Amino acid sequence: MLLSWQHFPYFAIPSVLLWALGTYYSFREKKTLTATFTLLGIALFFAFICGLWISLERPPLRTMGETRLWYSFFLPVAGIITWSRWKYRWILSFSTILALVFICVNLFKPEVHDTTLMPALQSPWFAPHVIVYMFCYALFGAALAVALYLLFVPEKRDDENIWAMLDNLAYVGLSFMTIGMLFGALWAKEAWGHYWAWDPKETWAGITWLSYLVYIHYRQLSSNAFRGKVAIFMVIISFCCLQMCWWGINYLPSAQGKSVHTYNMK
Amino acid sequence: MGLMLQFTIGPIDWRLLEYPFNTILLAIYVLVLGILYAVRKHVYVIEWTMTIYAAVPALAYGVLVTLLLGLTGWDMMLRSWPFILVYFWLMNILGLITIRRILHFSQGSIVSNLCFICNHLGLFMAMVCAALGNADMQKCRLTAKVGQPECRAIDLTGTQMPPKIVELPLSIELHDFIIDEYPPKYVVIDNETDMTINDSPWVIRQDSIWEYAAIVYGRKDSLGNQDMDRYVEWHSMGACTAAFITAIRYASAKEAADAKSEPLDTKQGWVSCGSFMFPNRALRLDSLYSVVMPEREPKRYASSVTVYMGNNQKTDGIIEVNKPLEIDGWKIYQVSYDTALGRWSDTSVFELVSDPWLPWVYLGIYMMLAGAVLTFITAGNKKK
Ligand code: HEM
Repeated sequence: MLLSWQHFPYFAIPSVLLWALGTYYSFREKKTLTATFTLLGIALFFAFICGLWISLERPPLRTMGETRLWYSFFLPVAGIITWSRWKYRWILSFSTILALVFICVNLFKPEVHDTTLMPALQSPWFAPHVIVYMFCYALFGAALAVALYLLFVPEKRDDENIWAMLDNLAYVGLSFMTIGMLFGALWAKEAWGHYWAWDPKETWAGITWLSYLVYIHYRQLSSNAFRGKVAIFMVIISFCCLQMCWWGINYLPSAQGKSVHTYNMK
Repeated sequence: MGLMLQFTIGPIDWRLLEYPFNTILLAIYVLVLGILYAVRKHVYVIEWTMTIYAAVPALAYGVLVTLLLGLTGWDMMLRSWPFILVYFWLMNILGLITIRRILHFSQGSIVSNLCFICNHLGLFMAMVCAALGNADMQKCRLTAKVGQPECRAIDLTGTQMPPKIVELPLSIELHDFIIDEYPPKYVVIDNETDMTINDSPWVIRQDSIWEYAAIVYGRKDSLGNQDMDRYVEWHSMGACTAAFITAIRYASAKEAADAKSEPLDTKQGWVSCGSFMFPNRALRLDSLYSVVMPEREPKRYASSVTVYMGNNQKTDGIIEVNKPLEIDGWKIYQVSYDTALGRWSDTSVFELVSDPWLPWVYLGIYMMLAGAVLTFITAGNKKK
């Protein structure tokens, strides 16, 4: 049987229900049940991605709708990894809600789904590059949530653990971003002959990367004195740069017609 | 200060640093960094440079300058002094702190030191070697026609206008240029505006198709329309793709999507995307819509070539997008073809790049990759 977007609700809705169950049990501190339900949901969702991959005869990574699919997949994956490592109870509710948002966008605003893939994208680098980036977006999305929480709940700014959590998310997110960016550079070398050409998408990827580096180094300054609004805003601004890199440049006048990376405009 | 230099000296010409100057410069640079490190205790500025208090503003300034580039799209920026200076400053910091870490390797945990060195030294190497190697990089564009070995190419690295023609130490003979195409698509368009209509009440069914076809013109009918034309299979140069289709009209776009209810109307005829020899052909459905076959998208294009080197050696190979051919320090990339001829192109356009510093940039990149993996593994360890 060939899967298509028509079958999406039959996979997405049960997945979200399973993730919601996992979240519920994470608040009740039932570890096995949390892990089981969340992983079942992830497996079901992944089955849909694989099915779509097979029926499209290419990785579903080209259109915005397809990247949203990966984003909604990696949010719970990042959530369960973070949860299993640091046991933040809220993380799964956050990842589930955000995944739900992206799933809803795909459910209610289906796009014309195109099956062709231009020659430059047919490369073994393509899938790892985009998948690693999506994973990093998921982590930085979580970091943004923590930063906003600290922004609006100033009492919590003295809590050592919340800052440690923000730092961890930024470190892990940044390491994925570095990998994604370098994979992109190695791939660009194979496809176009140069690893970094300061094309608008690459420039914004560089800005975003440097911007998260500022946060990481800023937090090294001194663990107590530098915990204020500045650090919080660094995370928020960096996330804005990330959005610019993901879809904002499609609307940026200075980038029009210049980027070789505009295929996800479809 | 950057702006002042910009106005006095003008933009930077990287070509000045051609081999061996860049190698000498690198040696001097590393030596100077070493000396600066050695005298750091006596010069407060150096001591300060190596602290995180200097790194954060430097990085933030780097973001700002790059942001300007991102917002304005002003490519000249790359050769402008403010941009170069901030990156140079970041490199100095990276170099100095890496020396310190390496010399104090025995202090602190091995993993965290390795992680630090991979991140910082990797970036340092990638940046330095990319910048200095830029001067030695040769990049040119060569257009080859079937059966005619070609060694002249357009130089893409210089800033001269018009670009100069160079003679390469190798020549390329094109044997065959191949395009694989995706299956044709059928698109309903608005008769007035030619815009694509995604929610028309028509459903298109392909009845038969000639991948290689020629048109046979029919007589005009009494109204002067040439709808007696048809297509026959034909395999020579200039053949186009043509399909005989049936268009089925439903009451609304929604019913057309389900295709369950009774159709209201059907229409049959030929459509073709055309070629350089034949015009494209649309099928008029009604007063509002027509159906067309857009030009077919290439799935893969490749050139089968023989490359002749100076010493009477030759190599056969296939060059395609994402699969460059590597010969004698040159990498040969497939970039284009004669798009007017499309699938019948008898020319192929290659870009040839020789970049002797590439292995060092790659070493830097691989170190950073290792650093990223180590960062991932160690994240959160110290805080817990
Ligand atoms: C690949 C990107 C980078 C990563 C992942 C990274 C990460 C880190 C980390 C984790 C530390 C703390 C080291 C520790 O205490 O163990 C650090 C320190 C530092 N970084 Fe970076 N960094 C990067 C790039 C840079 C850049 C571009 C600069 C240049 C300005 C820089 C300058 C510094 C300085 C001055 C220190 C403090 C020196 C020290 O503790 O020895 N880093 N970096």
